[in-house]
Formats: sequence, C-alpha cells, structure tokens
Amino acid sequence: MSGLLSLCDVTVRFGGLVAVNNVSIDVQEGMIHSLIGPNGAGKTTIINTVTGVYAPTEGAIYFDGLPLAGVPPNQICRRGLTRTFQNTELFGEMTVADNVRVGMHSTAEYGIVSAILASRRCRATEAKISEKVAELLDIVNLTDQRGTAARALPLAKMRRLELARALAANPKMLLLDEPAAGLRASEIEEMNATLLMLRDKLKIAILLVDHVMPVVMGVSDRITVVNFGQKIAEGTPKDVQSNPAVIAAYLGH
Amino acid sequence: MDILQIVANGVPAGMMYGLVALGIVLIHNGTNVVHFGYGEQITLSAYIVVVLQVIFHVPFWLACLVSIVLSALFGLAIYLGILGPLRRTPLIVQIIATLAIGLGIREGLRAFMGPDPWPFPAIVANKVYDVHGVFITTANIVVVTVSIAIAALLFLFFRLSRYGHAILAACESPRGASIVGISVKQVSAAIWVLASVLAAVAALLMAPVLTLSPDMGLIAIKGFCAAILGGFVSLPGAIVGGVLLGLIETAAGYYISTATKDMVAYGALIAMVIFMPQGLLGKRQIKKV
Ligand SMILES: Nc1ncnc2c1ncn2[C@@H]1O[C@H](COP(=O)(O)OP(=O)(O)O)[C@@H](O)[C@H]1O
Ligand SMILES: [Mg+2]
Repeated sequence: MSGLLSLCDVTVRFGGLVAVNNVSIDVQEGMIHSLIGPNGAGKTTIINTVTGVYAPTEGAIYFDGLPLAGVPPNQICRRGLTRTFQNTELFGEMTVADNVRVGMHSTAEYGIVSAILASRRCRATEAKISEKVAELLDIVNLTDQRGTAARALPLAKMRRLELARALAANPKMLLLDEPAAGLRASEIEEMNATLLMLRDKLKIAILLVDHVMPVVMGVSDRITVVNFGQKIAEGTPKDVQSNPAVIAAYLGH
Repeated sequence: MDILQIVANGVPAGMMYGLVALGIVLIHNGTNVVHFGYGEQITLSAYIVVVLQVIFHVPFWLACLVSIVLSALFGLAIYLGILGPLRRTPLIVQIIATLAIGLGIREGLRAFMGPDPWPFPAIVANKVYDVHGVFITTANIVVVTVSIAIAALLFLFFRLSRYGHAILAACESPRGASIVGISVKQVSAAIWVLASVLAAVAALLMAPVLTLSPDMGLIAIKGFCAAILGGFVSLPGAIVGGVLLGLIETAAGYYISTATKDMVAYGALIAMVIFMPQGLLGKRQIKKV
C-alpha cells in the first residue's frame, strides 16, 4: 500500500456471487489510473466499495494513509475523495448552479450561508461561493445552462455537471464511473481534455472506469484490467494493449 | 358579496388543509412514506396544550410552546424508534406502521382523555369584523397570517439555506446527496422534526375552530386531498391545493347545502385524479431505472 488510494486484497461477495475477487490496486498521487474490463467484471462494485456503499467482505482499503473501513459514504468526501455515478445521481429539480453549490456542502465556506442573517461576512462568503460555482461551471462548459433544471440537460451535460459537483468538494481524488459512455466523438475529445486538465492543473488523481478506448488509452498513466472480479493485467496503456490475457478477455475467449 | 364571503371563509379553511398537506408532503418527499398518522399527531399536540393548561395550570402561551417542543421530540422518536429501523422494509410495511402510530394515538387519547370534546382556548379573543358586508373573524385572520408566514419561512429555508438545499438534495437523490457529504439519516430525522413542529402549529390553529376530540385527526383526510390536488410533491402545491379545496367546499356549502360540501370536495378530488393525475403544481414522475 504505497499509493494515495490502496486496495489490498479486496474481495466483495453478494451472497454466493464473488463480484470482486482478491483485487489489489494502488493509485498514485496525481495520476490517471484506469480500471477496465468487460460488463459485469466488478468495476462499479469496486468504486461502490471504496465509497462505502458496500463493505469489503475481505481485505482493506486505505486513502491518504488512513483506512476507509466503516467510514460512511457521507464522510468520505470530507477526506478528499469523491465520485460520479454510472447512471448520474444529480438533483434533477435543482438548477445546474445549485447542484454545484450543494457539492460544496462539506466545505467550511458553505456553512455560514444564511439568507436571513445576511451579515457582511455572510455576503462575502456568498460572493466567494458564487465565484467558485461560476469557475466550476466554466471548467465543464456549462455556464450558459446555469439556470436550467438539471433533469432537462442532455446526457453529456449531465455527466459534466456531475463532474463539476464532485469538484466542488475540493477533492484530492476522483472516482469516475463511465464518464464517457454514450458520448459523441467531439464530446469525447472534450472529456479527454478535461480529465488531463484536472490531473495537470488541479493535481487531482483519478480512478477512471470506462469502456471507451479513445478515452482510456488517451489519458491513462496506468491501467488495471479486471475480468470476472479478478485482476488479470496491469501496466501502461501500451503494456495492457498487447497483453494476451486482456485481448482474450475482450474477445471473449 | 356572496363570492367575497365564500373567499373570506374558504381561504382560511383551505389554509388549514394546506398546513396539514405541507406536513404530509414533506414526509412523503423526504422518506417516501405516506404518513397516515399525521392527523393524530396534530390531535395529540392539541391535547398536550389542554392537559398542560387545564390540569397543570400552565399559562396558555407556555403550554403552546411546550407542545411544539414535545411534538418535535415525538417526531424524532417516531423516526429513531420506528420508521428509521423500518427504512429498508417494503414501503407498505412503513405505511402500515404510520397507520398504527395514528390509531395508537387516537385510541390512547380516547382511553385517557375520554371520548368527549374538550374546549380549546382561542389564540386571540374572537371578534367578527364587518368589511363592507363581508364578515371576517379574528380566528380566520390568525389562520391566514400564520399559514402564510409558515409557507414563506419554509420557502426561504429551502431556497436559500444550506440545510434546505441539503434536504432537497437528499430527497431527490440519496446517493448523490451522501457523496457530497450530506447524511441522509440526519435529513430524514430533520424532516420528521420539521413536519412534527408543523403538526403542533396546525393544532393550535385548528383546535379552536374544529372540535377537539380523539377524532379530530380525521381532518387529515382533507390534508391528503389538498396534497393530491397540489400534486403531492410540491410544497407550494400543498397550500394551493388546500385553498382550492377550502373554496370548493365553502362554495358547495353555500350554493348547494352544507351537507353536500364533503361530497362535492371529494368529487372534485376524483375528477382531479382522473383528468390531471399530476395535480396542479406536480410534475409527471419519471423514475430512473
Ligand atoms: N448490489 C448487488 N447485489 C448483488 N449483485 C451485485 C450487486 N452489485 C453488483 N452485483 C453483481 O456483481 C457483478 C459485478 O457488477 P458491476 O460491479 O456492476 O460490474 P461492472 O461495473 O464492471 O460492469 C455483476 O455480476 C453484478 O450482477
Ligand atoms: Mg459498471
């Protein structure tokens, strides 16, 4: 366990089904680490286990040197770890801007906001929050939609909004579950650029789950491949692409 | 002048239904549970005032305050003791639990306080004003003022405060909310407390106007109607639905006969459910799978 996020021999069982089988992964600080594998391989389960939705049946998970066992989902983001969901979990009736605003829930700044006691300090904080919301919306290119209800956005924009909401908590690390699924080629370019910007400018480590190879191969520093819950390969994009076990898994042999 | 008098009577009646509907909709949005014991929570709060005042000779205003606090604690106890532990059971189990809570309160009150009505003091001395031929009572003025104040406070709370946002977020997506650091359990507890405070305030407004007996909670049926008219998901809808119901009832009572007003009101409800199932301010429910 040497990384920012370390999974040590993690096994997750659902009754008789072994969804994740003895998997170890180290994600290093400031890196984009991809997790790929066929449908049902256990990728989402790994993310859910890291974020406290499920408890590992065996094994341990460390983030930033501290064990994550027993930390409830709503405490995880306070440690600097946050995520997006495969089927977005936005606040549909709220505006785009308010979704990002709520993303700041765990940060101290958002704490003093009170409309009724609109003190000067409060207004200053409010201004700072609005500024940060604007900044994040600019990053994900949603400034023009700031007043739209989240549910009215097309899928690609929902994905980007969820990313902005995750960034609002000032994370050290992001877990992204299929952020590029269903995107068009031009949108994939944008997604790549955004992910690289997060790594290079904001120094955020990313564990990226995706099937879209142009994204995975384009941005990853390291790739872990899982199949039927087991890790079958790990290495640079080049290593993985030429690995016979990986080729077999993807061709279904 | 008829129409104005109908408005003067119908709006306050409707506001009361709206208050009940607010509590029901809050709990439903926040926890998915339709709370069939809500009316009895209102009755219980009113009895607490009577017990404190008549039996322990506590001053009226203090009794009201204590009743609000006790109701909040009672709501918290319902969540922590019953609906929280049941939250992973099928919804029907939870709904039956709320029914049981309501029946328990109603029959408990009948056992300890007797089946007969108790007099409940008016919040302000009752007077009737004649405004150009339209009669307006102080009780109705209080009902309307307090209801509007509560609706406005709730609106500000949900629109502008961090906690309001957190509650709305948790109602829409518990998973999304927990990942941004919101404790869904705390939100559920807060909703039960908030709805129970509302129940106590509604009790103070209603008990002087209605008859305080163990069956006063049946008024919640009108609250459910108001909630459905308003769409069952929208807080402003609850108030609008309540006022509409109050106006329909009063108009029916005036133009047809008092005996038919419930019939006409429920008829309007059925028509609404058939022709406009999403209610006045509701949205068509699209659930993600
Ligand atoms: N909550 C759950 N209960 C039971 N089985 C589950 C649960 N979540 C996932 N699984 C099973 O675990 C396996 C891995 O699923 P998942 O992690 O979603 O795969 P991936 O994201 O790689 O497509 C699948 O067989 C899936 O059916
Ligand atoms: Mg998945």
